[in-house]
Amino acid sequence: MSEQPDLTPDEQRLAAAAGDLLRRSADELDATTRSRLNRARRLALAGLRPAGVRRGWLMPAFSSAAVALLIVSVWVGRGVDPVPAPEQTAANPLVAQDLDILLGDENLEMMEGLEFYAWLDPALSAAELQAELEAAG
Amino acid sequence: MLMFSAELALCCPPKEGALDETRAMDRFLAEVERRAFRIALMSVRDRDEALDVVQDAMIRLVRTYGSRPSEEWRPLFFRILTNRITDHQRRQAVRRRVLAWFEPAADGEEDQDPVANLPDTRGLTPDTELARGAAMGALEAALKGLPARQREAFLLRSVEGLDVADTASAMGCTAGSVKTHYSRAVHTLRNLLGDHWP
Repeated sequence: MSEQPDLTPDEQRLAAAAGDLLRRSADELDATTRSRLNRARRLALAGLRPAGVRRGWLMPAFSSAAVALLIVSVWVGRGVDPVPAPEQTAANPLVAQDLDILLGDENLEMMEGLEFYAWLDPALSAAELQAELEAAG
Repeated sequence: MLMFSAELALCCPPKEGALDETRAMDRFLAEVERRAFRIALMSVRDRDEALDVVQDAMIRLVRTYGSRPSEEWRPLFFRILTNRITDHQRRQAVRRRVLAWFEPAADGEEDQDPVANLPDTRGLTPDTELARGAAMGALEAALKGLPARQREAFLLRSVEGLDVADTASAMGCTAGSVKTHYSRAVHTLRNLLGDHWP
């Protein structure tokens, strides 16, 4: 501290001793604080991207292209439904009913047996068709 | 998405200079962060608040001054840190004034970090630790009694080891003011700590 000629040697010793003590206490911080400081540093450095990527216009361009691609695939994917949905009209509120059944939390047993009902529906139709054929014939 | 990232990495590999810049900033922050925390803690007197202040200062330095020459980082960082500390103290003063109308002062006992209070296992003998703890306690109490600008000047010069010019830059004042603040701080500390400290 030669820049402070107004201090007595005793005061300079005190300042040096205080500085040593405080620096030592900083070096011996507990593990939790050291870990949190480390995290804070990593967070701060995350804002310092490599110049090759940060400086160019490619990053926003690729981001925009990726977002556009995602939107298009979601939009197109909506039209490519492998299971033909039943037509829903005011007279045929089938879809709305199915939705109610599926969303209702009191029908868990029925939901577990969905495969059975899926099998049962065409089986009944075939039996009804056979009965009609016999009646007609 | 993975394909885009791979293509991006191939067409725009991070430049060596940029990586050096990041590594240099990492080294600088790692070197100053503990002392910065100690300085912040002395001023704001709350571990979480001190950590927030240091983190804010790091983020601001990286985002705003990361491209400046590394020789300028130290005074800039401590300038940001002291500004953040001052902002925090002003906010706290306003908050205390407002809260004083609505509720009694909280004792803050329940906010202490239990991990931070665990026994230290770094091999110090009990006598040494006791003596150091007593000296540290007295010093902290004395530092709390200093006016804010004197404390800043003392901590930046004694703990961080900044010279008068860099301390003036960090505090946003003249070199003469730094000398005056520092000198008064040391006089006051000597009076508060007594002749037999440390």
